[in-house]
Amino acid sequence: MNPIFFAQTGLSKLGVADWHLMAFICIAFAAIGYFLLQYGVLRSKTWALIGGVFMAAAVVMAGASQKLDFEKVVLFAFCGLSVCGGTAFLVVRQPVHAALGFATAILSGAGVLFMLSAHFVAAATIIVYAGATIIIFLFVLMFSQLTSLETYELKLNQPMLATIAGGILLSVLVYSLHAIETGEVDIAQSSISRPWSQITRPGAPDSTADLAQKSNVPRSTAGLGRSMFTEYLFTVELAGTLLLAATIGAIAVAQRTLEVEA
Amino acid sequence: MSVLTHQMLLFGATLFVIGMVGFLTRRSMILMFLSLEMMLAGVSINFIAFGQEHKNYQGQIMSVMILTVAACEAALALALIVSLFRRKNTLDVCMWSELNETPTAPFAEKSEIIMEKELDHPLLTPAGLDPSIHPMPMTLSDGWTKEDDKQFRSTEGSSHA
Repeated sequence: MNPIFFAQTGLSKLGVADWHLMAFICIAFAAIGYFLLQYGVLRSKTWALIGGVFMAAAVVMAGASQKLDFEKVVLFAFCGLSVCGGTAFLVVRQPVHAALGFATAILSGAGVLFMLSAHFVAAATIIVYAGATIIIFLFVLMFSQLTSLETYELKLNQPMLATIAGGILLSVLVYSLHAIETGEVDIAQSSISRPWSQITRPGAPDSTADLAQKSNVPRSTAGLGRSMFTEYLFTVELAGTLLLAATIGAIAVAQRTLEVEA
Repeated sequence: MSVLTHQMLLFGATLFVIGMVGFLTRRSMILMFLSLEMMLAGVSINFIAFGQEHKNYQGQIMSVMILTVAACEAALALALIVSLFRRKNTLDVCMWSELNETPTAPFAEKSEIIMEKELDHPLLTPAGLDPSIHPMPMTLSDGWTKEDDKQFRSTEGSSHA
């Protein structure tokens, strides 16, 4: 039988609202696998590969439960690639390989932003992070001996506590998403879609309502630029000042004074 | 909320948690910094998903701000890492555990590596007492009494005189 069809029937029996259960199972397996890897119990790359295949199967099953068009397939492919890059970043011991995993995660994240039609932010992410990661690559190559790994690369700092904390945080986030989906938490009451002035003064005019009518879906980069340089001009100026201050600070911190060296 | 927003929030949360676990476990300062950047990327995806949900540009503008702050952070963090690397010749963040507040048990590997650079003092403006000339007990439980305190204060006055 077609496995995707099987997954679909299985998921429909399970109910769409139960996706969080599978997410919890995935989180638990990922946490246990990471824990075993860090303590050296799980050393074989084959086992890690098998776990990765199982994770991919879970993701495919989750994707099979809903209608997919081309855009969604590309979006989820970028998401999966990004999470895989992040996992490689966590697991891999060579710092250069970890930096490669980071680059994969961030560039795929830029792809996700592109598919969410945030084109400017996607391009800016690629430019900033590509520049930053290339520089970091140079730093890593400069600092670390490629022939042997340092002890601080091999022995991590409290992996068990960190795994537990990360698993609990992700589970809580998944559960809160599920609670919003089932209506346990009323998001209309918390008024996240209304401006603050409307919550505090109910008669106040909604300044974002006409904006939302004007631009139905924020897709155009021109609209982003108009919004950025009219409504949020002060923010942009602040960001520029921050960049200038950070440049001066970085030069001041990194310069080598002769007194200390001598 | 739409289904797409849900999925993107889940994706952003996953990236954030990956970055957090990396930040908590990694000991190389450069990789800790990369984990921070990954946490920022997760938050940025969250903002953009919410901007799509509410059909305005605020999320994208917040995301651009996050990018700016990430660039500033990269510049400053790399400068700090370079100056820290110059002092101790290692990227291990546990080497700097003496910067914490209370005297704690030293890290297990710390006693193995003693750099020559650690031994000489930095050339700052002289202030207070040299601890190698005037040794001071770390805690009160080490037998530090009021008389010791008086004596310490009197020697302090005499050393300056």
